[in-house]
Amino acid sequence: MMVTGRFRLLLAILLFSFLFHPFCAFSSTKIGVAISLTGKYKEPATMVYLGYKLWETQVNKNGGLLGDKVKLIVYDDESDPEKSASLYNKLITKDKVDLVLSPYSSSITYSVSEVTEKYCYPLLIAGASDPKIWQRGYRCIFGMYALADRYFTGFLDIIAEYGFRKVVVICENDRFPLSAAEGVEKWSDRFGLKVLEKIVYPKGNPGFVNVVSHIKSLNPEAVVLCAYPDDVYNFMETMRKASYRPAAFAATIAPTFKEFGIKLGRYAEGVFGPSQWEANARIPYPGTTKFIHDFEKFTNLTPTYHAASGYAACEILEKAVTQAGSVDRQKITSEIRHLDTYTVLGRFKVDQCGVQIGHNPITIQWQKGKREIVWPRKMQTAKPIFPGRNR
Amino acid sequence: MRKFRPKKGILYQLIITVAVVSIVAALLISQIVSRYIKNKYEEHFLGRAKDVLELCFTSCDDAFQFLLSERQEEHQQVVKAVKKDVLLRIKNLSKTRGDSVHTFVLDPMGRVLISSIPVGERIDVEYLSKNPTAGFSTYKKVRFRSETGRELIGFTRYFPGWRWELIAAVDVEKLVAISSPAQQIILLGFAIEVSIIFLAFVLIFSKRVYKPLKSLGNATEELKEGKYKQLNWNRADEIGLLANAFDLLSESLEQREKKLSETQRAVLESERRFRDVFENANDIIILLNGKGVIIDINKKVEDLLGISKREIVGKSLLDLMPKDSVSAGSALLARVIAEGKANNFEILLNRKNGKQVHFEASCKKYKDEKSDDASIICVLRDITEKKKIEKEIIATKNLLENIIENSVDALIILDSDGYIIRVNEKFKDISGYGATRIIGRHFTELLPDDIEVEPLIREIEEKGLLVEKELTAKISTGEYIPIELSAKRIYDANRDHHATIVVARDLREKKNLQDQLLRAQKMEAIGTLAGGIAHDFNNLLTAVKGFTQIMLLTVPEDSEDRQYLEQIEHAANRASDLTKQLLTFSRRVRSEKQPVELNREIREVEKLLQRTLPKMIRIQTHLTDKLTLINADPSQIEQILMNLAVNARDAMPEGGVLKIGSDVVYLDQEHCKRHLKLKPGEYVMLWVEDSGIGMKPETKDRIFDPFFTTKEVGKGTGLGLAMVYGIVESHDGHILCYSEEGKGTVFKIYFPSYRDIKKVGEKGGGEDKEEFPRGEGTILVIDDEESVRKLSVELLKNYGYKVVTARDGEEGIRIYRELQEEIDLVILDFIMPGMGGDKCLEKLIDINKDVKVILASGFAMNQSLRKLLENGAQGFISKPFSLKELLKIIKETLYDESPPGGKRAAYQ
Repeated sequence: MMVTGRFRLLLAILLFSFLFHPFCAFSSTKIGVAISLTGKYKEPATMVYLGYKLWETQVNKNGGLLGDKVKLIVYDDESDPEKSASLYNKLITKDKVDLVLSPYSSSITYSVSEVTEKYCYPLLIAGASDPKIWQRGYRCIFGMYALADRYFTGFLDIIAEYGFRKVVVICENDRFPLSAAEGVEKWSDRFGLKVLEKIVYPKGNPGFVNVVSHIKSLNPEAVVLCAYPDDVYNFMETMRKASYRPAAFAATIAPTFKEFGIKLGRYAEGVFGPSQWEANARIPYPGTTKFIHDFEKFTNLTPTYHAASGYAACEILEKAVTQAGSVDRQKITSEIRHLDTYTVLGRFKVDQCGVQIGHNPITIQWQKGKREIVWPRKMQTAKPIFPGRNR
Repeated sequence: MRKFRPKKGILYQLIITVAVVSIVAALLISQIVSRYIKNKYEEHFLGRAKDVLELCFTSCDDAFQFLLSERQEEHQQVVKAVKKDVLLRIKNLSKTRGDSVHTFVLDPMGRVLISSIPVGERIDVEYLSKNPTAGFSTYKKVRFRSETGRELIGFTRYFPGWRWELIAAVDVEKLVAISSPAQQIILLGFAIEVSIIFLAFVLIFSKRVYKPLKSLGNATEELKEGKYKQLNWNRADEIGLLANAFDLLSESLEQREKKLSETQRAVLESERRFRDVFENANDIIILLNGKGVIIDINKKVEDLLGISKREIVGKSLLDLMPKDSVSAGSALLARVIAEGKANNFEILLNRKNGKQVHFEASCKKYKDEKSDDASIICVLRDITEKKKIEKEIIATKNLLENIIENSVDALIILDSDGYIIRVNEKFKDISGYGATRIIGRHFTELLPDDIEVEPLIREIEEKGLLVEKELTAKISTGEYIPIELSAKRIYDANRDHHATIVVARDLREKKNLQDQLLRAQKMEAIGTLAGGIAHDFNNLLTAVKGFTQIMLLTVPEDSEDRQYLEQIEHAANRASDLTKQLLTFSRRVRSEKQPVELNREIREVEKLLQRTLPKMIRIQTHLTDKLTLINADPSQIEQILMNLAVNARDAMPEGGVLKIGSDVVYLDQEHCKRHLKLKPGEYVMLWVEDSGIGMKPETKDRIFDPFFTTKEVGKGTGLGLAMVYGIVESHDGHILCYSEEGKGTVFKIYFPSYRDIKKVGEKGGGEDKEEFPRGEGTILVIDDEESVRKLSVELLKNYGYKVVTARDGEEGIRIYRELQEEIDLVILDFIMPGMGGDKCLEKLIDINKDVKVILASGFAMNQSLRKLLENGAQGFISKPFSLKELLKIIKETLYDESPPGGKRAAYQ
């Protein structure tokens, strides 16, 4: 995703204010975060980060956390899991932060959670959904998103209802994509669909000419791509050049961004995508409309579910700290585990492992240059369409 | 007229028709309405079924979403409980809808999980899950039967969450039961409505239409009887319009009947007038039907063909034509029928007496009003006289064409403005302009630019003609040629200037011949003059040489005088050579002709020339093997070659090539026409060519003139080419010279071929070994020249002869008559004053037919001399003669016993 000029200026001001703010002079709650402001995850990660910053501004404006100003200490992990882990180590041991917020992406979160778990820092995971993160028996990690294996439940339900039967799934050899692809296989079976092939491609954007050509030969009715935005754009460009488009096409993450429509133009039409949340009036959760308004005012950008997730993580953290009455991390951990509440993102409820079970993903589709909610059926802003079906 | 019968009346038929149509329409409409009502009911109930199905689906979806939200989708017991609950809810939905809609749920295997009425274990429908309908519609219409055999119609929808097939359907029988009463009520309403409308229609129709129409019918019947009645109904409807129309019709019929009788009279009058015109027309008029059969003719037919109307009507027009014209005639008739007309074509018709008459005919197709068939009117004009005149005109035209084209002169016809409109073939021959190139151009374009045209035109305009005007004309090659022009203006019948005929005669040939004639006459005159001088000079030289020889015989060898005498003899010999050349030119030199092979002569001369000509001149010969003999004097041929070679040498001071050649050529009539004296036939050509300086045309014109020379004084006598000319002329030959300045000169000499003579052997023959043969006898010498007489006496007496002399012919005759017995021989001068040699010979023969006469002359042998030899003279000696020659011929003549003329060969 291209970072706009205005956005860069804002980022520079924020970083500048960080570096020179004389926060040491006042009592404050230091919250540390290392996030991918550059590298392959920068687009969704920046959204998460802006959600954090909005909350920081608002909480400080409202008197701070337990009366203390909140100070975010932010580092750029450059989309590198190892660097991120070392940065969290530094935040906890060197910067002595009181609390931490999560990085973005399943693979970075996987590494970082090892550090936070070691120091018993509760970690509200606002940018990861790989179920394996929660399968290690950790006690201090809590998911904000529904798990990656449920991302395509809605898409598969729709295409099964509409009579599709043959599906091909492609995924990057990375934690989140692999989990999402496993979910596709599982739910396809349940809905009576047949996965013709699961194609796993190596990390690092290898080019998709051969993959597209192979898919074309399989002639599936639906194609599901589990990948980060850069790969999604590359894959779709390759399909366009090969003049190939399946009847139904769904991809992770990228379709939830406004830039998806700008970059692809009319080629975005009909593309499905799983979303944890949408900046839409049909989303019925408390505070959602205000959050959308505040975020747009704060950043001049429309929030994605990543931003809502970041903000929602902060809301939960604030609620737990308030209920605990201190920044005691053990108490906070306990509070979080028992919370059953609503945030701008939706219901928050975790199971014993910290897996998010209160929130379900939705499915959006690009129609006439806009993202429309097509699943769950009760939240539909438009009926699903299949423009590729007539080709 | 047929009688009115009520059953056939409009009212009766209309009532029947309306009644039948109303019943049929009522039945049809009731069927359509009934079906519509049924469809509406079906649509309504199917809509309800769809709503129920939607509720079923939502129930499933809600339950499924619940399981997802609660993360219970994997817990079989929970799922089973939820599913059971959902199935019950679906079953109950049927009840809440008043039993009109039945619900069914099938599992992925098609087994019935729940149904609101019994349908067995399976339902035989095509499920969406088994055969997805391409995903465009999530609903699919189905029709099936329940276990009790009731027909059900509804929709099915696939629920993917549990892979269920949901069906909502309505009972068809129930549907019919509900819709039937409504249909019956509507049908009854229709029946009543139709009956009322029908009765109303009958009443209104009877009053408003039937009765008025009947009245109208009656009134119309009365019209037939001439009762023109007026109805005067004041109605604004269609019947009112009809009544008004009837009133108008009645009124107009009344008026028309009056007019009709008037018109009939006029038509009869018109017909009579046209019949008069038809019958009395000056041309034949024939009316034919579409098949060419004659249906009417006018009187002219009888006048011209002698056939009456009775005989001809009903026959085909083709029957009147001669047999060989029938096919053309039928083609013409076909053309008239196809194209509508044919104008001014010619046809031949037979008269009754068998003769044929030429007609010019025009035919036109017209529509016969009686029969509606196409008919044809033909107008035929007798053109027999016209054809005769035409024939004469064509013959005259052809004659004129022949005259024009075969004219020996060029004919040009100009229009009144002087532009060429016609030329003949001869014009093309002379000018080189074809008709296409010259027609349309002004005649002055044929004349050179410097010619003043105005006087010519004026003369033609004033006098109307131009006679034999010599002019120069420009031909297509750009050359100017002499022509003789005659012209005459011709006028049309109105005396307007119409055209000008110009006759042009090519004068090139005439001019050429005139030039040649002039030259020949000039050469002849020069020759005569030179010959006369040379003759006299020879006589003088004869005396000088003779006396010198006598003195040399008498003067001792050692005398000083002898030297002077020898000088005199030498000078006399040279003078003799000169006179000989002059005589050669004037053809007064004796030619000793014999069959000669020209190539041999050329080769002989070539050897001589190789030695004498400068080395820088190369000599080439081009001789043909096919050469025939010529009758020529070899020494003169040598003279020709030497003279031409010397001239060539002088023309090539810097050196060059001298070519001498021979050829056989055939000169045709055309060639000979351009050269006087030449006759068509085979000729042997001798040509001599040099690459020297050439000559100007004016020089070339004079080269054969004696004493004309371009060489320095002392280098040339001016007699060389003159002598060549003389020799060629004496051989009945012809010489031509072609020369161009700077390029060289060619002389071509044509000798008549001498084909019948065998090849000539070497010159053999015993020369008379006796140099000065002596003899005896009396010789009479008749010569006007005293010196010759004295010389003869002196010479001959020394060699044994007795000599008697006479001064002229008269004296000679007198002496011969006196001394006839003594005189053995007469030597007679040919040219003498008074009685000439010829007259004198005649007299001598009259006296003694065996008289022996030797003719002596300073001229070469010519026709006159030859004639004398034929008539009696035995020999000829040319002056100046030598003693040896004289003694030899005297001896030969005296001792020859052959008849007169026998010695001719020796002197030819």
